[in-house]
Amino acid sequence: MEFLNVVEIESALIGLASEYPTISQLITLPFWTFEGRQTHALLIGTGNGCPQTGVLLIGGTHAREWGGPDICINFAADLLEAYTAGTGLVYGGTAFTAAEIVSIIERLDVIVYPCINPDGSFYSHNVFDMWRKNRNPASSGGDPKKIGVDVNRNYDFLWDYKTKFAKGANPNSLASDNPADDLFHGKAPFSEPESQNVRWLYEQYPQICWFMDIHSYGGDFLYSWGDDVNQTTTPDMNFTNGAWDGKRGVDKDEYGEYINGCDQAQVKAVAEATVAAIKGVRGEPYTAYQSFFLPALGLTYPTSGASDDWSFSRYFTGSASEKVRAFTMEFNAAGTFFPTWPEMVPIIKDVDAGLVRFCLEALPTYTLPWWKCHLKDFYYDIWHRVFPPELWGPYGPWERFRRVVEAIVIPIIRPIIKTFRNR
Amino acid sequence: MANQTGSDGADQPPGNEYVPPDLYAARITGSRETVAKVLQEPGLDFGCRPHGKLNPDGSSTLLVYATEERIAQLQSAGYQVERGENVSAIGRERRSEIGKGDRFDRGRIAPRGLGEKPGRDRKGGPA
Repeated sequence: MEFLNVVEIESALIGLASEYPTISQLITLPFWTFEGRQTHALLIGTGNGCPQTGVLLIGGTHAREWGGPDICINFAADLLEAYTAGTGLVYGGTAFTAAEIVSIIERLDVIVYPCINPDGSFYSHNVFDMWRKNRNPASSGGDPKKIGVDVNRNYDFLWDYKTKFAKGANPNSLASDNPADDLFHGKAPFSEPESQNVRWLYEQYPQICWFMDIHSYGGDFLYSWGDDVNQTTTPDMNFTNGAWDGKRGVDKDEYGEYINGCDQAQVKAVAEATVAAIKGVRGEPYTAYQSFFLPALGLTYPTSGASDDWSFSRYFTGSASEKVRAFTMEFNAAGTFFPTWPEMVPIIKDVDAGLVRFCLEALPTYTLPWWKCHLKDFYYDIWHRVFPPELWGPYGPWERFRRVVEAIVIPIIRPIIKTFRNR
Repeated sequence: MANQTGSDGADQPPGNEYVPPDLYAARITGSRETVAKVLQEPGLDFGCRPHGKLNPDGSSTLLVYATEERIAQLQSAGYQVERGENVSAIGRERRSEIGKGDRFDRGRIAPRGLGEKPGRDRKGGPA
């Protein structure tokens, strides 16, 4: 075996969707990359006529972080194989039962988007291995040294870092407006097709409540916020409040980013559970902490425009009806962008064990009465007879119908909800 | 790498493109304040996130990626810098471990996961 190249990543997704047509659905992302590549994601779930709690996993954001797409593809293949065979999954010392795999497939919509930045990956695989950004030359002015945007600084969360953050906040972590810099954040939020595709997934699948962006390296599992220290006492002190512009990003000052105490406890608990599952495989020392900090150095690393913070922020800006618990994985505790394939295999098993645990943590805690009454199988059977999944995919025509209804209803009810929330 | 698509040429290896100079791993050791200062130095690559360690003597060591020229500048500026491996060269060497062609034949073959499925053999059949 070897690392997947950018063509194989897409072929693997198509292959999985073909092999498991009743429990997966290929998603074709609408925004093509600058070099003309179209990407795919895979929606995994049995579907029961309505969307389930969604989990979105993305990889390949930073080109040089080899192995992220391989982790995602192996995870998808493992889930689909195990569910179809009626088995559990075992990764070294971490094991999951067949019933747990069933609960993931039948009660969640897991969306795996393995390589959001194929142009950058291709460039890293073939020309300059240490490449981080995408390959968009729009801001380069013809200078090849100025090609590319850091996709993970291009999301619409405090993107305008010069206004939103304090002068004393670290400019080498926030972002850059210099196209030659590795942290160049683009001309505007969501200027890049790669981040637009992620946003599109959120718009098309509003049931997404959990998110993970898979990076390397370090063996870290990070939770929000990334712009400043979390605080749970002053709700008005938050990223939407312009009164605090120019004061974010510095430790031990008056500003802290508000997070509800329950949310903070939940994301910490999920992060710890995920890390424990990873450690259980072969004892790799992964650690969970808030992304603002660099605990090993006792320093801070404020960021703007990052995918995890933007995902979590959407609920608070009114662009999502559900809170998204968002995380960033930095796989490979040994610390290199380019492990050998034999080194990568155990890393894949580590992280995939963490991903399965993460999905189990994402399962909704409530159960509908008909579920408890074991009507589920009967319901599925009728639904799938009426709308064969081979023809309609796991959701039948409901998904299309839902989108049409949402397109009509949401613009009407959103202002009402906003008014209600603002009271 | 061979043309992987065989049709639109989108995956042809680039031709005479500009290739940035090689980057080396450099370990900078100093006090916590020194490391904090290094984190604000322009033109340094800290990886996806900075990584380092606290040493038993109370100092910290930070890993950065930089060109030979930039490492020399850091040394001239008084930082204690140990130049390590050429990470660009390691990447070039590891390219041989990137798949060639399309092992999944445009989706006609599905990949298999690496996790064990108790009761199944590795090819997916009954054990």
